[in-house]
Amino acid sequence: VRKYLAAIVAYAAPAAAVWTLLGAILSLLPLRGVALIPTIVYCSYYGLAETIGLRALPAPGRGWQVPQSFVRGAPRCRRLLTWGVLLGPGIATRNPYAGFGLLPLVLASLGNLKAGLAVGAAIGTAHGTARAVALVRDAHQIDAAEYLQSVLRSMHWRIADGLVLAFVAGVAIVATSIHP
Amino acid sequence: VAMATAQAQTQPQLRPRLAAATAALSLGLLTSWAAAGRVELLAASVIVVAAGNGYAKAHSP
Repeated sequence: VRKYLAAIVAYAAPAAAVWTLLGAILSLLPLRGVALIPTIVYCSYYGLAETIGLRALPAPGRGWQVPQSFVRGAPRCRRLLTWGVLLGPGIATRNPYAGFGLLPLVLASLGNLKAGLAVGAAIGTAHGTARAVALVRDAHQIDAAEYLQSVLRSMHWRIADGLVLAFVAGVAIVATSIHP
Repeated sequence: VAMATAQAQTQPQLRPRLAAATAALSLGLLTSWAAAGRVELLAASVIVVAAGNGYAKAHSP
């Protein structure tokens, strides 16, 4: 239980802080009426591409990975903190799923500081916590067979991500037409 | 969509996935319509996306 709690705090706390700040900045931009249109285009394009496996433009994001030198030889506590700060928010490193790019778009469409702060904090907490739970639950060395399993699992996640994006496209279409 | 539809016609294995994408889009339209287009639904959806994304990223090779 302590292992879970330490990882969750190390990942979720920096993630909540970063996304709350991002939520504040993006919701203050005058994009309320505008940001839902790119949201619809983004979700429709990547939703379809990921669900049916089309070769599409790579999902926006960075290709950077945490270098081993950042954590090699460091005490366990500092290692956990480094992983948590860099991986918890999800912004610094590579992410193969297009769903992640949707998050700032929706924050920009809120157009309300209070909502931006609340949704930003919730996004950060959800992302950091889920990542920490998955890592602690499945943290072990993997062999070749398990690597293939993880590739297969990643393909299934991509389809699920595409389906959620298609759902959000539908939500955003109605939201735009009712509250233009 | 046209390209996807064309591919789906030539590759029958894509049809169920295209149907699933259409169903997800329709579900989003219906749910949002039932919620009178409230932005809270969009906010709740992205929180789910964030959680799913964090969990899935930890499992990507």
